[in-house]
Amino acid sequence: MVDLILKTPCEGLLPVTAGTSTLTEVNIADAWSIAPFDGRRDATAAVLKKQGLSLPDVGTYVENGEKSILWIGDGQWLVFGIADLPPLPAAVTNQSDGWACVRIDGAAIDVMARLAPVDLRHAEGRVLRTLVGHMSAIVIGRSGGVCDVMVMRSMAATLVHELTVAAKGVAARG
Amino acid sequence: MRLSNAGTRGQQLTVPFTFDGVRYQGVKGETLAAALIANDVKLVARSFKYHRPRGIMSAGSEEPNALVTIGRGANAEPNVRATVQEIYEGLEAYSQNAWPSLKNDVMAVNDLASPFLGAGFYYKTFMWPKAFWEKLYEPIIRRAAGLGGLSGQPDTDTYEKAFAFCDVLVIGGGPAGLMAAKIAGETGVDVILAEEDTALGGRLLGEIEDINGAPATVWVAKMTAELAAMPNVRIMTRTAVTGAYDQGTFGALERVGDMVGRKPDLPQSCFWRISAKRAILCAGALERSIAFPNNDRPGVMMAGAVRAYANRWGVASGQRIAVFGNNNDVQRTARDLTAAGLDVVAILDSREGTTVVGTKGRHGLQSITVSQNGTTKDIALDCLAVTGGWNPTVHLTCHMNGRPIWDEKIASFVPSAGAVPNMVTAGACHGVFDTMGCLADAAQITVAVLKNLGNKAKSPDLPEADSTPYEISPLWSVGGKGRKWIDFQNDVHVKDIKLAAQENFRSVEHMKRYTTQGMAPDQGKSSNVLALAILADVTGRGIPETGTTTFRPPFVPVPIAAMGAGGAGTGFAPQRFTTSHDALVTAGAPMIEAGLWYRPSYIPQAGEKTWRQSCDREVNMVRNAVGVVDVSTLGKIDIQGPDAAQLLDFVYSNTFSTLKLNKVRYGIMLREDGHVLDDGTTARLGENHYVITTTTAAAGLVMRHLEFVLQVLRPDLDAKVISVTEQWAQFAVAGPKSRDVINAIVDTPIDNDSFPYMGCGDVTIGDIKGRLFRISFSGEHAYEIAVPGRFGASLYDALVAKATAHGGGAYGMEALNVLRIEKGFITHAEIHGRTTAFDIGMDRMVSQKKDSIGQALSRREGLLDETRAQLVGLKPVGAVKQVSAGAHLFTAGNEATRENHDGYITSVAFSPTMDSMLALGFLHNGRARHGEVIRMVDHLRGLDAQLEVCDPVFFDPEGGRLRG
Amino acid sequence: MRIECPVCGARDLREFYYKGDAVALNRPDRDAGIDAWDNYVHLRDNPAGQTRDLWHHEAGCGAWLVVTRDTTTHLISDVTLAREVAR
Repeated sequence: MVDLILKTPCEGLLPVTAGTSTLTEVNIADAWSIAPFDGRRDATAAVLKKQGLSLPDVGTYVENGEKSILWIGDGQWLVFGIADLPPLPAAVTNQSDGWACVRIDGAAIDVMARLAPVDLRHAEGRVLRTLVGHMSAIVIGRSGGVCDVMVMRSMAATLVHELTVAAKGVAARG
Repeated sequence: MRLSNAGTRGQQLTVPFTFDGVRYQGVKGETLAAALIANDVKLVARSFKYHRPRGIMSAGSEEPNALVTIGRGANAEPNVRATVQEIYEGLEAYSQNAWPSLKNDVMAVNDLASPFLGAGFYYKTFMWPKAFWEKLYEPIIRRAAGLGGLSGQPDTDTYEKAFAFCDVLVIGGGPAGLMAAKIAGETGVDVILAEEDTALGGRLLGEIEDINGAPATVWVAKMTAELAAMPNVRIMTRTAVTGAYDQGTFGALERVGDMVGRKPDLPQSCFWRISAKRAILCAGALERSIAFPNNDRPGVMMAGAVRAYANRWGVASGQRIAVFGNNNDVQRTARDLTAAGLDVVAILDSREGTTVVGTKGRHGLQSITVSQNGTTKDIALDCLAVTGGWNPTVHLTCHMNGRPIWDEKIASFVPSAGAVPNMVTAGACHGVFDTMGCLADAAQITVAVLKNLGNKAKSPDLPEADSTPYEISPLWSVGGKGRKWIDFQNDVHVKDIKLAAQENFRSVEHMKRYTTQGMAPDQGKSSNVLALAILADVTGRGIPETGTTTFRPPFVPVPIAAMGAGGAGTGFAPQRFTTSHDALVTAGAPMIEAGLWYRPSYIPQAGEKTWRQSCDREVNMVRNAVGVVDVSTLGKIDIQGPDAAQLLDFVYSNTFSTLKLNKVRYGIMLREDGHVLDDGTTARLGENHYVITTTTAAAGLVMRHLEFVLQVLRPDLDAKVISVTEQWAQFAVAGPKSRDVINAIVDTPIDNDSFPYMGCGDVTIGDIKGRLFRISFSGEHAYEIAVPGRFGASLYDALVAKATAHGGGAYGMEALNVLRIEKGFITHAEIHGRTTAFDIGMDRMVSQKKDSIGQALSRREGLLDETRAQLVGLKPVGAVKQVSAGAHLFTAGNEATRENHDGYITSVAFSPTMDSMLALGFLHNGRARHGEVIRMVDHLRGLDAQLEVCDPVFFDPEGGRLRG
Repeated sequence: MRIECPVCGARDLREFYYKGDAVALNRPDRDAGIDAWDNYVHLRDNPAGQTRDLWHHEAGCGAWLVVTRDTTTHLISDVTLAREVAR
């Protein structure tokens, strides 16, 4: 019998301060991808409603305390903050360890303009599936111009590197 | 010389810079060209082909002559326009294309030889003998031609690329652009105003004009301040829009560190990709020259530039200046220069019958010869301001195939409407040249654009501005002895164009290629209209009939370093690290790329000097005890849904609906053309729940393929797929002691009944839920154990520790490869895209009872032909030094020629288990040739050896060890 | 180039993977014969004008799209979810 020790995707990489931007790791505890089976979207939503959550529209997310749901693709959502998800008429997959998530505070919009081909100036409350550099990413617009960027766990180091370089470039312009 | 009574601000010489090593002082914010003129530096370059002495001609990015190199060594930037480059403290500029010096340039002999070096000279001369081309002609031409050179060292500067979005992109910040941005900005839409100059204002900065009774610069400052105060307006100065692309995408180059000097982390330049719903092109106009003899001496300048240097920068382009032209800018120029206190020695207006027919002065203009009413006279001077009229800057409207239209009124081309979808033109680039007209045009057009976007914009009260009509009487070239230059950057003169026409290169596009006029970075900014007017004349056609060549992007040169910013080195692709990465690096393992992933080549132990020693040890360790390797890089896809089994039966050639719960089965996927796409194992975790694995290389490909099948081919199937590659850290534990290691890790011990060969199920490790699969890629009794990624590093350490305790340890890719070759297991070296299931001996796996991708075409006659190259094993016969992957196979006794080609080798390893080199390869009719001795030839490595054909499974063909 | 994804809106080209002619939607029956299969897998028109192509919004929402585009003007006249066309 072995006691396994937990290591987060960005351990040893963050936090980083570059100019006016700060990068910190957002810990993902319980994350489940859900994809309702054909014709079962409403049934899925009904179960989630009992958890105090709705299925958000395309490109958005909903929050209720520690719990939240992100739209992450065509017919696909990511549920956060529920340890034991009740049975759903949907494909349910644990994704708690699949992603690295970095929060950008400060000049997030200018930093992301150097990495992602999407307009994030009015992104509060929105979720975008896009590329960050060459990486497939989930970009979440938080209030106050803060952005969360999620990429595959294995790419955490590249994400931190690219965000740091972009943030330094933005800061150097003064 | 600096003027005492001109210029727009108090000037202080505070910026030191050097040109060709000589120190000068300049004024902060001025261009290198202005600073050089102020310091009376007239000779700044040698021309491209003839190495003619050249001076500054213009005051903008259209400059064909004054190209310089900024900096030295790895960070030098060649071919920078001195008319655009701002000076900063410590700027080092160097002239180009001259050796040993600008004044005494050896290659100027080309100019003496010019009667022989006309257009087409190279095409005609360097033809024969053919063999001379590569060895002799090309190196000579390369050395002689070209402008600035590259250092040959990697550029260590920082560059940036970025994305921007707006509703309305206004390109150009002159009077029209300011008006457009203001009107658009006031409606609240998102506006980007891009201006290549440091400041907004356009021509107004270089002209003496009033707006609303005050100097135009006052109006410019007011407009600039108002725009800067609008949060929805983004002003991008030093930003040249370089190209118009599909669906409202524009490229733009922003000069950053380039213009102010290097600072840590500051990008030299930034390449923007701007996405705009609508664009208003307010690019203005470019002044053109007149082709008169020897019109290229330093000191012959564009009249508008001479005015700009005097009016905007407060510098005099000469002491004694004449003005020559065919339009009413002649008078305007004379007026401005006189007002600036300069000595205007002659006003030469071709509309009054006066022309310049010659010039003198070796390194700078000393005199001109003027013809008037049949008589000629010489005038001593040092600057000639020339205006041949203005050409609307139509470039961007041509980037998507738009063809500009000839406008007789202004004797130039104007943009055709709708040339770029959702882009309109306004102001001078729209053919309206007076300031009042530009403002009115921009106002009217912007209101229409906004209306089209669904916004109500109102036309503002227009200010009172100059409305003097533009009057021109076209004059293209002047008679007289000597070369009349048209394209200064490419050294093309009137005779070259005549020669092109004479040799029947009469189409304007042929003329361009024959003479090189309008090519390269210049894209004919100053020369195009003049050149084709002369071609029209020579060929006896009208100008509209002759047409223009195509202006191509970029409008100004863009450093490739900016376009590809962030892509150098590791920026080329993301790096994917497994959870065991740090432990492997600590253990000294060389990490090699496997797609985007990094995997250990081998894990060296003390005393091992070569990779082979480590690899052989690791192979023996797995065969005799136990080894651990990270296999997280293999693609893992979770498939759930009522039709999950049907989906698998459709995408795999073999059948998965019959797979029992908690069992694993190997499968192959074909492409629709019958060739193998990928292979891997599939585990059934529930009635409607499977997890499949893909090869590392094909993980993304297979995911896309599954989505394609579900959305495009079989939307009737209710199954959902999602990648779980990153969710699980997965490790192979292989070898006779593998179960001992597993049982030292898991909470509840396993045995052969709970986890038989090809069984799978859940396990817990210190209460952490994991998955265990009894599968093998080594031929040994083996498992793959998976835990959530966060515990990967910890589990890897534990597994290696337990394995070490059992006489084993970690192994790497080299050993993994040897182990699989000994067993004849295939990888993408074998399923390389041109092999079928038949070729690899798995045709029986292609079920004929169901439809599956590739099944129909896999039955094609040619794909089942016994003579096809089939997978075989190969062993050396006798003393063979080396067997190489990529070597070709021939029947013994045959010559090693293409015609006799009989197959090829795909994988090679030295097997410590068999104490022999082993190879896998494809041989025609190979399955029937086991035992035959054949010939291997590697032409590249000079190898020639004899190999025996055998079954591809070299080790433990019965597979007893797997069930161990 | 930008493609108007019916799910995500207008997005940059780099988010998309290009597959090829939308003829891929019309998969023959397994016993349709060699000519039908050859036509389906190998034979493609190369029109100067309208094409119907399959694109995958791979770095976006994951939807497969049928994009109608003019090869001479690059204008995109229609984008539809492939599964809606396929049904």
